[in-house]
Amino acid sequence: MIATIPLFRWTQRPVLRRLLTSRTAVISILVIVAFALVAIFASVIAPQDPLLMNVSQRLEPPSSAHLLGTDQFGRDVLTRLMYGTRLSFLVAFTSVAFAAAGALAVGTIAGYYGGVGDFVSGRIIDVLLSFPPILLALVLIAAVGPNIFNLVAVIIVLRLPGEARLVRSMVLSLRQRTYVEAARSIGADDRRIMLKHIIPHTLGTLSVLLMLGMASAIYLEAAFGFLGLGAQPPDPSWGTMMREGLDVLRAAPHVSLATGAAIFIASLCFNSLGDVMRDAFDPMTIRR
Amino acid sequence: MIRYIVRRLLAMIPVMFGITLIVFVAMRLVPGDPIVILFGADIDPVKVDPQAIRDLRHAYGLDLPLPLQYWSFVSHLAVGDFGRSIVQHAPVLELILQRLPATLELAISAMLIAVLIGIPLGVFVAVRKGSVVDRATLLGASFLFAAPGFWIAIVLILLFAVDLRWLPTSGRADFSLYDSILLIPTKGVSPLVDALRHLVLPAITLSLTYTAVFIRLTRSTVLEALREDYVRTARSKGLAERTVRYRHVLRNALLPLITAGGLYFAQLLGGTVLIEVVFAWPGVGRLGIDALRFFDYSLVQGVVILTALLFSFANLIVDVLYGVVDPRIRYS
Repeated sequence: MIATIPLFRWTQRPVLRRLLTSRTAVISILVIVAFALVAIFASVIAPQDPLLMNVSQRLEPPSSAHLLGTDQFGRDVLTRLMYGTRLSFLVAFTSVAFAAAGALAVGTIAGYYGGVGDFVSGRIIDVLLSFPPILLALVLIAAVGPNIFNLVAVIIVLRLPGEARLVRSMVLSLRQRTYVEAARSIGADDRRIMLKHIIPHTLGTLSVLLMLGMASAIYLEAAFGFLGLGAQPPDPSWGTMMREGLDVLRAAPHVSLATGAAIFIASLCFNSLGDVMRDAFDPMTIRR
Repeated sequence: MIRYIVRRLLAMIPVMFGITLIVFVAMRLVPGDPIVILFGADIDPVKVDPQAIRDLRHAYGLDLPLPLQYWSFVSHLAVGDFGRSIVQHAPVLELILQRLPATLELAISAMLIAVLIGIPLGVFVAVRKGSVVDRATLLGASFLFAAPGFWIAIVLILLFAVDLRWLPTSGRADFSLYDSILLIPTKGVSPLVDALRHLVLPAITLSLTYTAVFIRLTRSTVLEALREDYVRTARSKGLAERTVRYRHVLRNALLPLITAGGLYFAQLLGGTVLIEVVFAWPGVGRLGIDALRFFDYSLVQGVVILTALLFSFANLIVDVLYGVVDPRIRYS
């Protein structure tokens, strides 16, 4: 079972070539870069202040003055969506990156050394994976309080166990490879073997998970903001905007629709890129 | 196989222990005192007799040190006593069991929709790999997979309930789907129609992601099976393509689908929360959210632990079922 997990390196040239010749991958990367630029330069390119209320312009439909209309407080939806991109991407990226780094550390050490550390971390992972994810997140958020930092921490807790288990299984297989044995026989110490010969081979698979993880973290941020358990109003995030949009669904469906469309497009691009990357890393799927 | 099942059940004990510990600690960290909230004393603490608060806290064992509270909680749990809801004054298990049928009805309906659409469509496009239909279906599946469920829910409510007025916006019918079928001889089909009208939007919304998953998974397992040697052998024996597809390809391709189906069903049971909230569906998930809102410790603990237990059992059943379907698998 363990030996069947594909292990590839980013630096393999066919991987990059296959990635860059896929139309889906290129479009997804362009859209993600566009979102990232909007997130970074929101304060420069946004037409208005995201918190600026204007009661005389409440619930206005899209127009040339407000490309995506206004919300119930007369705030510009496009502006809030741009700032929301910043918050949602920041939450997703931070949580996914920390989860992957944690998983890499836990999985590598557990898989490489085995023993008590492996056993204990394995049982903790068992427990965390036995919770239905949304329920675990709800309980944890309720315990630590709803705010953006805690949401990041909770998403890390949700993602880390599964990824750590995957890394561990890859490391178990890798440490038995001949080149690891060869490295050991010429006197390489554990640290060098892990950093030079094991971890680089897990990064390909992990980067696929990173992409799929971004999509699910964006969804979780939106879902928790929607339930009032993530970012808090008036801060613009895609989740809080969905919540506010629900309150004015009949009078101004554009608020919900625009926000939902942003979440949808971002998730679609991250998922598609993850799919293409998985295929690019897998020699079994080479097009004939 | 019995030994395997027993060993898996024994392995679940420390896991359940860990689950109870996490839930217990998390609920104690929640800012807010259920007893104070029960009295409404957060609004005007002066009006409440402090002795009454102390008495009630004592009655629910909330004045004990935390380790003792945990011990009492776990030892009661071991004999199936989930405690009493502080807010609803009823046994937790009873409250959950009242809501469980609604969640099961929703989860099973969503799963059925996903399987009945996803698997046939997956087979259909796999044998037409590369065609326009194949590419369009895959694109559609990617769209379904990426669409946030609660947003789709809002769009569907807006369209079918608010604008077209074909379906109710939220809630569950007076009778469950199962009861309404039993009632056909006495009350006719109207309870069944009512139950279906309430169920259709939440079930479809919940099923979307899983339909996409089944389409993609079926397509890839069928494609994989089509490349196998036994398929070539079957074809070289001169069997009709139809027989090859259904007797040889589909039967083997179904194996991974059973595992996936079981795992996704387990996920579905815990994942109905958001849909239950949006559609005001009176299931276990919404019970949990409401309990969280009122700091009803014992009820939240009960909901999470029971759901995690169901989740673990579903995973065990999948593993065992997999061995029954595929005799090549040996339990060790």
